[in-house]
Amino acid sequence: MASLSLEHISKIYDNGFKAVNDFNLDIEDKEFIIFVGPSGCGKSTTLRMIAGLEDISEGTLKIDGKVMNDVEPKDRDIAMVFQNYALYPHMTVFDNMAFALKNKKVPKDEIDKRVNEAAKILGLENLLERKPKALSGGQRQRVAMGRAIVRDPKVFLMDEPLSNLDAKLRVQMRVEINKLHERLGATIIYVTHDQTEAMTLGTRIVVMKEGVIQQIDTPQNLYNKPHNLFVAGFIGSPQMNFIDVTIEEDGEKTYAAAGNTRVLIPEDKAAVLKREGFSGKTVTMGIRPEDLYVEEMYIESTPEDVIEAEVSASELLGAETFLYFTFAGVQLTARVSPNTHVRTGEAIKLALDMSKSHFFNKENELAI
Amino acid sequence: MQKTTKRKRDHSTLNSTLIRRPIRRHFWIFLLPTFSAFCIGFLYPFLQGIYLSFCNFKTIKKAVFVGFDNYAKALSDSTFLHAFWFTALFTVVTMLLINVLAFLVALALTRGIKGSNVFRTVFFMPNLIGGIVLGYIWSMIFDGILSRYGTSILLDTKLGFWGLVILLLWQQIGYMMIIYISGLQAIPEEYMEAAKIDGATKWQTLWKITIPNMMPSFTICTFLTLTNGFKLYDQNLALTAGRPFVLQSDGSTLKTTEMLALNIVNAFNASGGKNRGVGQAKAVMFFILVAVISIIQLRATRNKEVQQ
Repeated sequence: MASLSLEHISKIYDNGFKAVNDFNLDIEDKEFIIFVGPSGCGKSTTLRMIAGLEDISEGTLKIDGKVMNDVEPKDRDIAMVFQNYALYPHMTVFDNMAFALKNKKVPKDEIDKRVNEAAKILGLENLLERKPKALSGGQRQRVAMGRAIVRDPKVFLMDEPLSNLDAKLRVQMRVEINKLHERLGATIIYVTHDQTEAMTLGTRIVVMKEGVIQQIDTPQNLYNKPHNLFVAGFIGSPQMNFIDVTIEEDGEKTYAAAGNTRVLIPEDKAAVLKREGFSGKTVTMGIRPEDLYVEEMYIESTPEDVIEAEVSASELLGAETFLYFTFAGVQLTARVSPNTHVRTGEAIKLALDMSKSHFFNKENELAI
Repeated sequence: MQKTTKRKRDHSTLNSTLIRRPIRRHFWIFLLPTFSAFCIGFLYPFLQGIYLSFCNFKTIKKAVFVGFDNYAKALSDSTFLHAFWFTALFTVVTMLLINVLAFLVALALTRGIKGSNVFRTVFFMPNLIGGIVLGYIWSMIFDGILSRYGTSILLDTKLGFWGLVILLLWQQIGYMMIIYISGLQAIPEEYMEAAKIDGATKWQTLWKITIPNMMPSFTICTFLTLTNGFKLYDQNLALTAGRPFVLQSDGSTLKTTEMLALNIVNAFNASGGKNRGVGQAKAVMFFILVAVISIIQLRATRNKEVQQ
């Protein structure tokens, strides 16, 4: 297995469009790295540059310390799983998996051994003689994985490998990929636009937007300490609530005011806001739906962090309920217990857990 | 799967049972115009043609049934057998050359080279010219060149053969190229990328990925070139009309570059129409031959096609 380093990598197309801009990342052996972002953010392009399917316009790509910029894909010792699997339709499952080994002139019994081994891991033993069209979506996906595994590559590259599966199968394959990562001890780079996949699979996540890295961090940190407004909004579902508030000082205390309501900001956060000179200024406050409470207990214990709002809709999802309401002109969401019974149009009180609040500079959208 | 559901949805209003039922009951009204045209223009003459091949006739009203006489005469006609072998050889040569060259041109013109579209159009253009015109144009070109060497396309069977080959290549490569180009473009780019990562060389990718996925195009193109080769008539008439002629020991004339279709027409019109029945018998055998060969060819290549 291997380590990778991407130094100042950029992709500039002939028409001048910059798909990837100054991408820097060091990947250690056995890491499971996720590239995540909305479509067109350059995540697939970056992956394809690592694979050698796209030229690197600027910067250096190293695998195990060796510069790979101008090395042919086949000599980079990588394997790739494509979104549509790209199984060769005229070959059997066995031949699909053996194709790379045959090209490398691996002896026949060695090929048999490796394909059978991979088939066993993936539960494909009985399907080896079938053609791809006779397989289900999940089986095809496994064959695509198998094709990568038999090569025993330094790095696995996966380009949205689960996006063509139905929801149930996707969850199942997600678990299997996680197991596979542990079993093979492989370095994996995985592209997805699905933040659930990103959070559950990655040891580290690279969040991208418009070709620029927004944040590289562990799933936990990404969720709890987003660097900017984009990351805060992108990670987490339903997404974080954002309200424009004015920072007001009142004696010793600091409040975030919106409309004619104000909530108390905890001292540690208030100190940072004051130090950075945001007193009296407008900032964007972010708070996750699960940090809003409707229970009486919370409302009574933190009377200074309570807002009043009218419920515009509620969705019962079984294990939880989403409340949608408008406050200070913005639509907000709260994730509450399913036992909460509120009617649409009803005015309710909500307690904000301000220790979990985030503040962002309105101008550069960075976290304060 | 997806396609059918989509189709159903698109026509759900138009295709409702309420509208469909009366249409189904009166389907023959809708069928009638084309079907009657098919019967009058094709089926009746075809069946009558088969009957006439067993007759001695000058006009179809004065046909006398003679059994297999005409077939016996046709098969003992050395010019017919010569035309058959000449046509068979010609078809094999043109089928191979046209398909190989058209495929190579298609490969070259799908590489994103500048001006690809201009080349595609130019290569296709010979198809817009009729066979007779082509024949006369090329006979001028050939003779213009050959006259420098003191010969003519009409003086040498070999020259005539290759002249016809060049003529047909020039006309048909562009057409087959279009089919191959669309076939190439239908192969998902991902297969090529997967092959690249799987370490296949360009040559291996061509043989193991591209060509197996192009089988539907090969099927249709070999079918077209095969039947086109066998049925070639107007180019043959315009370029050589069967010349050079050789006088045979039995006193008959052998037209050495005469192909099957031309031989049939000539037989039909020879001696003031005395041998129409023989020409007709040749035509029926010709039909069976082309049909059998193309069915065998379709079976053979269809088996190699894959579904994606």
